Amino acid sequence: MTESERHHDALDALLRASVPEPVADDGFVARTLAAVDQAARSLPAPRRPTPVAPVVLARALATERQRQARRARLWRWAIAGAIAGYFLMLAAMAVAPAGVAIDVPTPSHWAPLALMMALGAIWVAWRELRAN
Amino acid sequence: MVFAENERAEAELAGWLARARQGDRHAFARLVRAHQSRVRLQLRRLARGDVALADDLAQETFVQAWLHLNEFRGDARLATWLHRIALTRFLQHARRPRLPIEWCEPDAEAGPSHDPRAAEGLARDVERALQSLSEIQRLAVVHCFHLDLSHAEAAQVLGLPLGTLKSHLDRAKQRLRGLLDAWNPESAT
Repeated sequence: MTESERHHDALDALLRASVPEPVADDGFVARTLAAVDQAARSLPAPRRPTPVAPVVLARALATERQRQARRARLWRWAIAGAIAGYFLMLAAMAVAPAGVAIDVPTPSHWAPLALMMALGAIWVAWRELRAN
Repeated sequence: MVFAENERAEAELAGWLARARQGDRHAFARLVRAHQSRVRLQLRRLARGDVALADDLAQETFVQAWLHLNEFRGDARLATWLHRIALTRFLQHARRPRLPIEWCEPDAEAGPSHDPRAAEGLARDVERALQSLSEIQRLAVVHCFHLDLSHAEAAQVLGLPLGTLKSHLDRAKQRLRGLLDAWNPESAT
């Protein structure tokens, strides 16, 4: 052990020996716990989600029902239109003075139209599916 | 034997801590009782003997500890965490404009007027010698020797790199060795 180390050891012991006496409680713990209680009481209560007013709920429900009814009405009219068109076509064929001759064109003529109609139908179906 | 007692005390503290985390006030009271002396000593040192201020800050320290107990991760001793909160509270207080404490410069002339015959002479001389150190050197000595923290713990409390703390401690001890030389039995012979 060097001279310096010996000096340091002696000094360490001296410093440790000079530790002040422990501080007596003197009611500190009781005062601190009272302060803890006070601090806990003054904390803001955890916020609850704001309840939705019944009138707001009723309004939202009514709007949704109206939207569904509008959509259903639109579909009913679309189907009724298609059926009416079909019967109109039959009626026109029945009253035609010279009879009716159905001339089916070659696929090269009607394929683009059929393709457009198919794409349109798929688009409408997809939109409906997403809307629901 | 002493080691076993220390282990039992640490285990008890850990038990109280676990219960206090669940909101048990009685367990927290035990923790306050176990640590109040050291925290108040630390703050009295920081406040240069202003007992009322030190006790107010100690109370705030424990209130903060209670409110943030769930943030204590347990990777340091509870004492280290409390000392850190205490130091932070003190620094927050010291930054206020109306400061009751004066951070006076070390008095180069101050030296211990030792009286080796009196039992309380050592504490008084060490106290006077500490006053001659710079603030950071004094804090390093107080935390390492009077609060019985390891160097790593003291560095953590003071927010210093370990090497910096050690160098402050070395410089402080060099100065103290000169000032307290009369208390060294080897120099007396």
